[in-house]
Amino acid sequence: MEGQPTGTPFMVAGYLITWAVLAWYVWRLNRRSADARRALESAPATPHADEETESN
Amino acid sequence: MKSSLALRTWAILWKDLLIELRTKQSFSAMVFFAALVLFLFGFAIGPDTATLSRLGGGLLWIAIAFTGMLSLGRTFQSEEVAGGLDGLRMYPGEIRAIYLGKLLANFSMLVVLEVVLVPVASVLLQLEPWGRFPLFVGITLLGTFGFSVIGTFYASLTQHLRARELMLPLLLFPALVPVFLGAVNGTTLALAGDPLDRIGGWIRLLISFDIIFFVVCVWIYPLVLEE
Amino acid sequence: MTITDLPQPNPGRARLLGTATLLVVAAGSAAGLFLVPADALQGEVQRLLYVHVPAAWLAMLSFFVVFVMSVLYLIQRDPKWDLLAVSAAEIGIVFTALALVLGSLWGKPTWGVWWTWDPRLTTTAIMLMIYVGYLVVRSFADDPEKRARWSAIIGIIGFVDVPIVYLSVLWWRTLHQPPSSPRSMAGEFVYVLLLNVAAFTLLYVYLMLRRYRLAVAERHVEELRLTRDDGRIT
Repeated sequence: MEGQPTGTPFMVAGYLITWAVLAWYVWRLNRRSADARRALESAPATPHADEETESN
Repeated sequence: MKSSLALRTWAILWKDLLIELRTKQSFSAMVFFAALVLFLFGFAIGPDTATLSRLGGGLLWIAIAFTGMLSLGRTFQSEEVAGGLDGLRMYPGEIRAIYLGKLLANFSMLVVLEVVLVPVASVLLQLEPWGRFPLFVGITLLGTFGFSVIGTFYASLTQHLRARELMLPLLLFPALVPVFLGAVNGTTLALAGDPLDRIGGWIRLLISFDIIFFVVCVWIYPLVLEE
Repeated sequence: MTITDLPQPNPGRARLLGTATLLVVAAGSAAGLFLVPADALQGEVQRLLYVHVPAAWLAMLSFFVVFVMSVLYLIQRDPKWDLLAVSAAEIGIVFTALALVLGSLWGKPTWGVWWTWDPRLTTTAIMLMIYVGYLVVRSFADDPEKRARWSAIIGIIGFVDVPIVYLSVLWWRTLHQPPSSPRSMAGEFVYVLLLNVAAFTLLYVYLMLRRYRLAVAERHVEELRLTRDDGRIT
C-alpha cells in the first residue's frame, strides 16, 4: 500500500453516483415520455395525433 | 469550372477586403481590443517581465483567438443586409467559393492584425521573436490558417441560430484545441529556443490539422448553405 | 421525409429489456464490489474501474453512433437518423460526464488530485464540450430540417476532431511526464470488467430504445405545435 489510503469512500461514492445517475436518467426519460404522451393525447384531432394514439 | 471557382473566390475575397478597407474603424477597433487583452494579461499576471515573457506564446494566442472570434462573427453578418448571402448563393457556379472567399478574407484580416499585434506584444510582454523569425512566422501562419478554416466554417453554420454570439465560441474553441496546442507550443519554442528540437512535431501537427479540416470543410460546406 | 411513418419500437419489449438490463447491471456492480478481491497495489479504489471503463466505452460508442447516424442522415435525409443521432449524443454526454466524475474519484486517492492533465482525461473533457455544443445548437435551431442538417455536420466535424485532440494532448503531456493510467489487469479482474462492459452495452441498447422513442414522440409534439402555429398565422 505504500502508506496510501485505500480510497474506500471514493470507491463507494463512485458506485453510488453511477447508480444515481442511471436512475436519474431513466426517471427523466419516463417523465419526458409521459409529458410528450400527454401533449399528444390532449392535442386536437390531427392526423399525427390519431396515429400516435392508435399505435399505443 | 476550376477557373470559375478561383474567380468567384477571388471576387468574394476582394469584395470583403474592400469593405474592410473602406471602413477602417472596425479593423482599428480589433487591434485595440487585442492590445487591451494583452494589457489585461499584464494586470492579471503582474508586472514581472520574466513570467510575462515565459507565458508570452500562450498570451499572444489567447489575444489572437479572442480577437479572431469577434472578427469571425462579423464575416457572415455583413451579408445579412439586403439578403447578400441569398444573392451570393443564387449566383451560378460553385457554392464552395463563398466559403473559400470568406476563409481567405478572415485569414488575411487576422494576418494583418498579427502584423500589428506582434510588435506590440513583443514590447509589452518582452518577447524576442526576431531571433528565429522565419520559424515564428511560419507557425503563426499555420495556426492562423487552422483557426480560420474551422472558424469560418462554424461562423457560417451558426449564422442563422438564435444566440449565435454564444454558440460560435462554444463550438469553435473545443474544436480548436489541437491548433491552440500546436500554435502555443510552437510559438513558445520559437521564442525561447528549442534545445531538444521538438518544434518539428508541432509544425507537423499544425500542417496535418490544417490539411484535414480544410479538405473536410470545403467538401461538406455546400450542406451548410443548402436551402 | 414525413415523420408520421417513423418506426416506433415496441414499448412492451422495451420493458422486458429494461428488467433484464437492471439485473445484469446489478450483477456487474455486485461482482465488481464483492466477488473480486481488492487490488494489491491500489486497494479498494481499483474497483471503480469496473464502472469507469464501461462508462468510457459507452461514451466512445455513443459518439461513433452519432457520427454514423449523422452521415446516414446527410445521405438519405431520413429524420429517423437524426433522432437516433440526438439520442446517442445525449446518452453519450451522460456517460462521458459519468466517466469523468469516476476518473476524478479514482484520481484523488491515487494521484492525490481531483484533476490532472492526463491525455485521456483531458480529451474526454474536450469531447464532452464538443458534444454539449452539438446539443445546444439543436436547442437554438427552430426549423427541424435545418437543425438536423447542422447538427449532423457538427457530429461529423466533432468525430474527426476527437482523435486529433487526443494526439495533440498526448504529445503535449509526454513532453512533461509520461501519461499515467490504471495498471493492466489479469485473470478474474478481466472477466468482471468484461461482464460490466457487456452489462453497460445492454444498458446502452435499452437507453437508446427509450430515448429514440422519446425523440419520435417529441418530434410529433413539435410538429403539432408547428402546424397549430401555422394555422394561427394564416
